[in-house]
Amino acid sequence: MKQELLITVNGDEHHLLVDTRRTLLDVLRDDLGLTGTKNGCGAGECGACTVLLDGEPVNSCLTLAHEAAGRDVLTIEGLSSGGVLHPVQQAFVSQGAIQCGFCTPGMVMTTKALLDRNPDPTREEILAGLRGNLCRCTGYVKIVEAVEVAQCLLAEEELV
Amino acid sequence: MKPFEYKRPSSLEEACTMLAAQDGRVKALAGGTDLLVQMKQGGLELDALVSLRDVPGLDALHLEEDGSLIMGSATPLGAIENSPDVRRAFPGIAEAASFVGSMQVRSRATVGGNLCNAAPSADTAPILIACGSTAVITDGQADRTVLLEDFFSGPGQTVLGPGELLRAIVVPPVPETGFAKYCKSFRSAMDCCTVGVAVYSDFVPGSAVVRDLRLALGAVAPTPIRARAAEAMLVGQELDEALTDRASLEAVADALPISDLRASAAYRKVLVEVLSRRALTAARAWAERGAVA
Ligand SMILES: Cc1cc2nc3c(=O)[nH]c(=O)nc-3n(C[C@H](O)[C@H](O)[C@H](O)COP(=O)(O)OP(=O)(O)OC[C@H]3O[C@@H](n4cnc5c(N)ncnc54)[C@H](O)[C@@H]3O)c2cc1C
Ligand code: FES
Ligand code: FES
Repeated sequence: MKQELLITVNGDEHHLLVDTRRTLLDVLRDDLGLTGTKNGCGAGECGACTVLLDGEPVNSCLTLAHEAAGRDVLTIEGLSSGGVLHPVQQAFVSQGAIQCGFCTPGMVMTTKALLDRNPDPTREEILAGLRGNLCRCTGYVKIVEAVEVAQCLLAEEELV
Repeated sequence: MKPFEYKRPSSLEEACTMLAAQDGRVKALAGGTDLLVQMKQGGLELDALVSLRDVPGLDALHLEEDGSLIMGSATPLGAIENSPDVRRAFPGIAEAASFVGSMQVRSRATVGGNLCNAAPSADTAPILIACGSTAVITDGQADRTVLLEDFFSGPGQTVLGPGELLRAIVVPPVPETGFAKYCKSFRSAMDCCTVGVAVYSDFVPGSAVVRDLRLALGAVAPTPIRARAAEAMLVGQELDEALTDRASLEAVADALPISDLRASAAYRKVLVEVLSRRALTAARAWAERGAVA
């Protein structure tokens, strides 16, 4: 059953005809071609599909597309501006917190949400914030370090 | 997934009418974190989903003048966890909310969804039962209330009738001499509780003498339950270490756990004792510190 859907993704409005069964993840990847958001488990466990919905981090695999109607979605593609990486992205690159990269978009979006909410998290708070994001490659140490570096980069940005 | 209709009513009345229309094959959709998993992986087939997203007032979260807490059923657990009011006046509830899933899950998962899904292991149930909460149920026309401990009728089952919604949860004020805490045992940080135990205790001022106490257990019976035998042992007594030990053992008497993939029944019984001791010890420490934290 298809229904009309008006949705804003990375600042662009889209008017689509979408089956009621499709998730936000399906629409982002298949209809809009935004394949940065990954489909890992499809069940809320891995966080690879994390996007920000009106600024809140959500599992797009468990969010029906129509539930996002009229809302603002931010995906990994919308994070950098004019070819300049967002400080969270810079931090992941500079710390080597990326191996195969499958988990990275979700990690980056979750980190952004975490630091938006709490600009100065403790290591424990970082671990708690990332507990819905799995990485099969890195062993997490560099990811946590990247979050700490991002925290500093963002704090410096604040000062400028 | 089989095709289904997606409806998004903008009033309670409309939502209840839609829910009443299609006997059993229609469900309310709150955060969808249980429903989507059940539909994608659990073979749940529905004719229609009624989204609560645009129903006004369902995500209200506020303290009343008398100190009671009103949580609209569609309030996300993340909003509860991060609410300054809840953290100050009901820290045990904020903490229990933070134990659910991940930050992403808690952005969507609602307190009403957690309760209406009625998993025996639902993490918000024990603490809200221990705090003496009431469920406000509506059919779109009028409200009725039941004590939250009477809201569950079996695994996945509640007292909600066709066309009824859980509208809100009301938590009575916690006096300055009252303490509440939820202790959870889980296999991984992303899992429901293997066993959960919540305590609410009100003490005679300046002492560890229990004036009023509720002990609620999750994941050890078909529904969340109260450990009445242990409660009876504690009320009116001074909560010391020996009584803590005896009451924790007594709590096991009310538990009727099953064995499943998370734990055996025997292990769950041990957990009831351990977690009850942990919860009661926290309450005792709080009272001995001179209460009023
Ligand atoms: C990765 C992951 C981890 C999780 N971890 C935990 C955990 O640690 N602890 C835990 O307890 N749970 C956990 N859950 C389960 C789930 O997130 C929670 O139970 C959540 O609170 C459900 O809320 P929801 O709003 O998403 O419910 P939904 O999925 O929208 O609804 C659940 C059920 O309640 C009904 N319903 C919802 N609102 C109402 C209402 N107002 N009136 C009547 N019926 C209603 C729906 O029809 C449905 O049957 C986890 C889930 C996932 C995917
Ligand atoms: S794909 Fe959504 S959490 Fe794994
Ligand atoms: S870098 Fe490969 S899964 Fe994280």
